[in-house]
Amino acid sequence: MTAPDPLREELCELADVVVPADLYERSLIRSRRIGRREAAIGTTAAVVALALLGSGLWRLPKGAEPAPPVAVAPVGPSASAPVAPTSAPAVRPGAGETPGNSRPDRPRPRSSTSSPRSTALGDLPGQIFYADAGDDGRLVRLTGAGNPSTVLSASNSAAGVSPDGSRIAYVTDGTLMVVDAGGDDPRQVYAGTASAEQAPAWSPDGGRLLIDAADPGVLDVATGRLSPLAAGLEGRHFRWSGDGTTLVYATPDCGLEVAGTTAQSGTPVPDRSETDGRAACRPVSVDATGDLVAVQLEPSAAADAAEAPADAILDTVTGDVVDLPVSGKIIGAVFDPDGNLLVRSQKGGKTRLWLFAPDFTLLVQAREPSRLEGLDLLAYTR
Amino acid sequence: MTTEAVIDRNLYAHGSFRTPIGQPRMDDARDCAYADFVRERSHALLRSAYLLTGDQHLAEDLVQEALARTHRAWSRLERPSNAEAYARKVMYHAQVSIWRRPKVAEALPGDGLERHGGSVDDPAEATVRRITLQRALLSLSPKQRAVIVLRYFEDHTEVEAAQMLGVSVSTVKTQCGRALDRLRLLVPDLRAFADAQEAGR
Repeated sequence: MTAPDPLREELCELADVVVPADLYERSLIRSRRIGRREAAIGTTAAVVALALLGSGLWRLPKGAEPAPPVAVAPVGPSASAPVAPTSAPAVRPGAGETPGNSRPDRPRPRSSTSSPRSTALGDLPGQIFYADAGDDGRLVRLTGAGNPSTVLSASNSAAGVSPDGSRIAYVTDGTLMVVDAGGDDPRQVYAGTASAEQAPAWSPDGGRLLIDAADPGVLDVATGRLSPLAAGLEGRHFRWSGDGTTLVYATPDCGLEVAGTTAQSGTPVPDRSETDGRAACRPVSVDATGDLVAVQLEPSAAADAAEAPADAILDTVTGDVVDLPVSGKIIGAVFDPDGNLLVRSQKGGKTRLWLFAPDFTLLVQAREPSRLEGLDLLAYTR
Repeated sequence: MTTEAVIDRNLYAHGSFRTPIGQPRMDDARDCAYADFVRERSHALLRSAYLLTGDQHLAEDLVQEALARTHRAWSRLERPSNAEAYARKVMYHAQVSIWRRPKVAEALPGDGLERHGGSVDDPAEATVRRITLQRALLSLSPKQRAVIVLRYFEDHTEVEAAQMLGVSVSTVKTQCGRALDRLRLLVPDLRAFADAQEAGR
């Protein structure tokens, strides 16, 4: 920037108008209020937990829980048939009892890399979407059949891919557009929105979009009706859990919070020293139940940090980083609506894709086609 | 522990550093550092906040919120020098977030313009110029205004501004370009400057 410039001088003169004020006491009073509010939230959570314990729910045998619905029949490690991802998080007693797991009732990955059921890219079910930040947000789709294809030439903004991978929502000139993946006939579904703080986020049923509008909220795509979020949900980069019951979002001061979709306020995700607050500014995707969230921890080398892919998984209850049994550097991680986790890693110039079931069984580990180098992992859908 | 001590401890459990009669309770270096930080940097924060909000009271509210959040995070800030960056980040996020319904002045305060600062040659002309610029600033979207303040008042690069706002660099470029176009339209004195910026893109 060259100096002097008239705008800077004018701004400095304008700023001179402000009168000095002693904000020390006021900031402390406000800090105490925030502390009391946080304490109240913690107390409420503790009361709920005690009530649950008192009701005797904890005595229920785990075996009495209904088996999770399975949408696709399980498939063995056959190289010719795709590996079916699990359709819901199967909580297996004992499965997560690995060192460092502070919640042994939840499935967590084992500390060492296990053998995948398949190493063939063709066995990878679903669709993987990549964004090309260097080409105005071009979107590329990869399926197990290989041959990456461009499905949106230039979104010019952060885009949201529907849970079935059939539609893409994006914002252009303040208008929310939806287009079929690979189609060339976008239709306007809402006027007056932006995507910098909230990429359009599809609900798991594919019928609604959480958008950043003048009245922020959830848009019914079919009717165009916008339902505002509760005023107590102050945040950005909202993401749905796969079951549609939970939202994870970033607060204005870069913390993560979890809230029910009908809740009036959120519960903070504990800020662990190991994350050093770095995860706070943007959740990327959430698992099926809201138990885990994919975030970006490492400072992004890319200039477009706001669209950078996730590189770590956090436990939303404890704030712990979940150690993923993946070799190489993680350069992307997304959950699909059923809670399956797709991880993208890089090691020795090779990029690999790792697909984990919700119980962290390694389903597929395959090499990614080199044509996708330089693109960012955006979404993994059915 | 005496009853008084228990009450005293509870009173300051959430970080108050002063006794009820206003005497400093600087019982460790961290408390002193926060007090020093507020004393030394709050006016600088207030200047930026004034440009963001266009109102003295709204600016004070914004800085108060940023300082309070900084106070709560104080123990996590590795160095006191990180505090200002943290406070500014909170301030900008709070101001540009549509979820918080950003507040800006509805009426232009003219009272203070004659009393503080100003041009040495013609106070009346300077006042008109400032009101024009302030009106133009307030006509921008919160994000555009934040980008202008970050780029042209705080002299941040586009990358730094993007990191501060938690948006992409392309968003900063776009918002900055649109903001300059609007300022050029509304503030005739800035046309030459904006033209130069346009040529330099």
